[in-house]
Amino acid sequence: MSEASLSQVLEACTQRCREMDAPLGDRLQSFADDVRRLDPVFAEVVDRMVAHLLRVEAGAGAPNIGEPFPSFVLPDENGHLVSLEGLLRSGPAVIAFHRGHWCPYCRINAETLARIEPELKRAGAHLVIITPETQHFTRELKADAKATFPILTDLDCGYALDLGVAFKVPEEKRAAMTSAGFDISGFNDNSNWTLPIPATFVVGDDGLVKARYVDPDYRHRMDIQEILRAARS
Amino acid sequence: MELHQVRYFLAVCETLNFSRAAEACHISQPALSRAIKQLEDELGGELVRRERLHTHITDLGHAVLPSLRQCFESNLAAKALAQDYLKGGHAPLNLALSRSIEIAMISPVLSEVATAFPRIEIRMFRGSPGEVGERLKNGESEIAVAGPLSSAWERIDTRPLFEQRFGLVMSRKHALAQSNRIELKNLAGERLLCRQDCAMADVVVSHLNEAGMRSVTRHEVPLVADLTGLVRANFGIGIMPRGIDDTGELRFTEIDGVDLSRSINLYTVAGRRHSTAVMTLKTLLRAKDWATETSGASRYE
Repeated sequence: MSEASLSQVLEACTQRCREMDAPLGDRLQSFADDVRRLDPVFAEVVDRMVAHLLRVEAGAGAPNIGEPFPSFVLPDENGHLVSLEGLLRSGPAVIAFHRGHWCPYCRINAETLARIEPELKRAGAHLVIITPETQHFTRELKADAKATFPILTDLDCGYALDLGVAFKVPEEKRAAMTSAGFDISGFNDNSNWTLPIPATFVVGDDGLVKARYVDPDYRHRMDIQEILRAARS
Repeated sequence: MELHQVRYFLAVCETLNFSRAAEACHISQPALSRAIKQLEDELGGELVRRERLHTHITDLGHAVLPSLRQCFESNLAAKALAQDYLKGGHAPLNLALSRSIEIAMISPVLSEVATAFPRIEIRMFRGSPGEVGERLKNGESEIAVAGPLSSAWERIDTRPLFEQRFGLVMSRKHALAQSNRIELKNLAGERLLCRQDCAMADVVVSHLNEAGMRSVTRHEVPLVADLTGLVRANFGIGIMPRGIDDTGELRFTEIDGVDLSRSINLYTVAGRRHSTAVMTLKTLLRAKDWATETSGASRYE
């Protein structure tokens, strides 16, 4: 019998962390602890990449609170174009960059966002996730998260580059991901291994950033209560 | 990575000269050097080796160049779309398709482009792979969707969209329609129907020739509708893409041991300035879920 890859073993952990009755941050931490326990070497590779990205201040150039958020028009999972302008017509917009349907942290995060979507709607706010993946995979992420909001395709991280949140996965991390069963080269219609920092922005209907969370450590995501507070303010 | 760092790096790659690159980017040379240095820090090594007369790109620089260029070009395309979206500017779109591309595969995407650019003006060309390649070269068509082009040209940018599978199609009244397996030898004495310049028919015929089967005749028609019409009348067996027009009267099947699939690609010419409508069509075609489309599942529900 062949040994299961790390990604396969982590499937049960993903489910467990989704079902935990705890804030998103705790559930993501619990998942990160699972990874470290199951494959300490992989966890160290992640640590090294994150430390490097923090040292070079990756993502530091992303729009700050009070600054205009660059407009976008990107295709959703059905190939329909969605514009920031259109989203802002009825109120603020929550814009979350995700790595893809293969990423357990994104899956946990996306499902949690799907749960607060009704609340956001009541506040007049729209929610979108942006990933570099093509529609076959944005559809998978959407179904997996039971989301009703659009998941947009940002090919080659072209729009993410505008915000300074695109980065190239270093060679060491790429090798570790591939052998762990996270070979992403078939998902993005390129073999560039360029990913976004999973940043989240809340943009007001005036087009200015109301709140932002930019952390090159992909194991950390914007606090859900923080998102709701910003969207309602 | 920051947009300006990537832009400066691409300028250096083009000019191999820091002062000319700085000039092209309208910034000072120290600012350009600083940005390149930051990009080098992030990517973990020297990208450009600076020498008085022989400034050159390092191995790492060459390794990251294609992905940074693609990221930058997609940034330009995304920005152009965000800027021109619903602005109603004149949007010419000269598109070439090879004859095997069913319009239903492209039409939803064209409609989406037309929503974004209400003043779109489409000029569509259909032809053989050779003609499609010629039109791209001479600029009559800006973007094309087709199987493999017959002539190679280094400036043609080829992106695979999906695998197109061909098969045999016959009337349910045909003698072979009841067989579960069809082998080459079963085709002895049959009439084969194919569309003009059908590369997959060439594959079948060469297999037949190799097997020494001269009794099979080949008949060419210009349109898919001609082909299915003749097949319905049980004139012969057609060769066509799987999943087209399956109304129940027709039986689709494969030939045992003969691979009739090929890549359908998106073509543009590298280095040419494309209209926003063309860039948007390219984005939508690349992002599209072809797996669902081509499995046929969505259309036969």
